[in-house]
Amino acid sequence: MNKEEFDINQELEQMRQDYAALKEQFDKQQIINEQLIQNAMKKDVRRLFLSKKSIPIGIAFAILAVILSYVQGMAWWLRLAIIIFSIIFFPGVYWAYKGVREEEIYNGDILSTTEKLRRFKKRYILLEVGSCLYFFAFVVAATLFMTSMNISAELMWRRGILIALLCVGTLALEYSSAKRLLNACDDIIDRLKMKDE
Amino acid sequence: MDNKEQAFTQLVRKHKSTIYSVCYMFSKDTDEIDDLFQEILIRLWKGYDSFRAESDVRTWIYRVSLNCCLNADKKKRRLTGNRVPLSVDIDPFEDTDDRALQTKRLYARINQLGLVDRAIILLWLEGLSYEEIGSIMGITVKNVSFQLHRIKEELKKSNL
Repeated sequence: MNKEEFDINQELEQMRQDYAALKEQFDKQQIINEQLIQNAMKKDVRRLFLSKKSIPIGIAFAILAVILSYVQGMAWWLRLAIIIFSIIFFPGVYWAYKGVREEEIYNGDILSTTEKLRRFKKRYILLEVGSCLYFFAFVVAATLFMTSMNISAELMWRRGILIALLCVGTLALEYSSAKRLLNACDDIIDRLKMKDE
Repeated sequence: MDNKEQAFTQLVRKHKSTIYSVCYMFSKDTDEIDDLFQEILIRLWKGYDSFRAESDVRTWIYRVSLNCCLNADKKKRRLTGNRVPLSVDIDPFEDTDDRALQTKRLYARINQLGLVDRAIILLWLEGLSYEEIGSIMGITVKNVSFQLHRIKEELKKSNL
């Protein structure tokens, strides 16, 4: 062992001792009280994902929308659009959430949890982009239909463009934040897989 | 309070300093540490049922705590686009003796490391075996050894 190596090992050992002393200090402090633990047991977790309740509620709304479309005598293509959306979106949500359980997501090791979160986020974004594009296509189709019926064409086009801009803006914001999150996950995964691969 | 809640309360009391140390390693803002601590407690409670089938409570606590801290950091990066700035304001020792200075220096060094490295060195400082570190991080023992060697080199480079 050369001098430099000896020094670093000695310093690291010193770090360990310092850390042990620090923990000893923490041990002596109260840190938590009864109220804090009680709150933790009662409080709902800060959600990473959609609430489980939102999925059956969403399905119920979709069914209701289809029923209403019949009752209200909506155009066939409008009904079809709602049905297609329901058929694609809800299995899509299931696909995004597959293998991810909110209650125990953090129980796993760091690498597998990060991989799961990354996969979930990626799928979730795809679903979001798909929904946005579908909505946009729907608006375009509706605008064209209204135009063909001569219902204030100019107004409909303006609204269509506004909705398109909102869709693009939402997607750009979501993409930018998701990219950072995915990059952060990649950093962790790459670092941990450095030697194993 | 039922048996489950009592058992959980005891568990948290026993491991409070471990949880606090992890939070402290990932943030030096008092409010943020409080938030992290609270979030970890919630996550521990939520995952308590699924944990009970497993054996090592300490490993589980480290997993949940580190996952929480790393995820919180990712969220911040998501918001700010930058690495979380770690202040050096918190001094667990109110006096300014040698030990207090050494502790501050220790944290200043560790906080120079990246998130993963910080997590690994924290587990090493806690005195966990390579097997335990590997199990928490999800990597092989050989990889733990490699990572620790690399981190030590990095610490050396930062003029330890």
